[in-house]
Amino acid sequence: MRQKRHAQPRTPFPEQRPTEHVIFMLRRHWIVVVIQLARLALFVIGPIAVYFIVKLLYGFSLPHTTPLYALVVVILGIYYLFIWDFFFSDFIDYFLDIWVLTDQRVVSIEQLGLFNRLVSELNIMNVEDVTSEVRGFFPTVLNYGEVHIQTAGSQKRFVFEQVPEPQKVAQVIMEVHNQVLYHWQRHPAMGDNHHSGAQGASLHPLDENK
Amino acid sequence: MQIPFLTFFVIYLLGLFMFLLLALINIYHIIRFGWFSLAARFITLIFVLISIGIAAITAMFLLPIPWSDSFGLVQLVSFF
Repeated sequence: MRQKRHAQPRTPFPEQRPTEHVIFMLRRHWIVVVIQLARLALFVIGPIAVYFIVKLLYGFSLPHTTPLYALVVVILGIYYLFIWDFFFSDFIDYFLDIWVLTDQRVVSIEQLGLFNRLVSELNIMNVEDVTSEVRGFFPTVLNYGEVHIQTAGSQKRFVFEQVPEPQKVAQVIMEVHNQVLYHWQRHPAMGDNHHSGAQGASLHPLDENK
Repeated sequence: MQIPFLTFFVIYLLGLFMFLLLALINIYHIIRFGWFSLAARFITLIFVLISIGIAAITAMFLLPIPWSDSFGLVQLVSFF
């Protein structure tokens, strides 16, 4: 039988450990894509609108044999290819930015430009304080905003940016943290692979070091 | 001074080359980090199709240009 090369188990996110369970995976709010699409539409319509306005005002037309026609076609051809490419880059940025909460940790996967990818994680036991922030008219109407996760000491804050329902997200993070902490306090000597509770939490804090 | 129309075509090809370079980097990212899920495949397909569409429409506009001819700089500016 033919074996598939590079066969990997299918997991919700590539960095997932075999013993952990994903509670949620978040991307930015869909409005981010709508804004990108609106910007793309503006850039697409712009030159066409300018052409029609100039045509209406001055009533000119460009014969195909003139060098100006060739120049305009070449510039517009390149322009449209590039705005489409930049839109795709922005969309990839949206698509690849993911925040994951598991029963062991919080993982932040961020694509920063084309050649910079940042994957950071935080042990769920180290969560000290979770704050949600909804600021502005559209975020309030559409219910999206930021979730700040404060850890112990001087560690940098984790920030989920423009995520939907930030209050609910903050609440779930704290619930999972409390649940894991509660089980760990009750059964501190439990093995790494112990699972319990509705989330199927692996409760040993040292799972992080496996 | 006479400039061949082909100069514009060379400029277009350079732009197309730059676009292809960026597009390949983008597609690489979505395959490498997007776990090549169904959504990623669909998005990539849409991107490729629309890119081909833009290139095809541009080619349609480029076709009637007399590529073998030349023009003077004055001819280009005189339009204004």
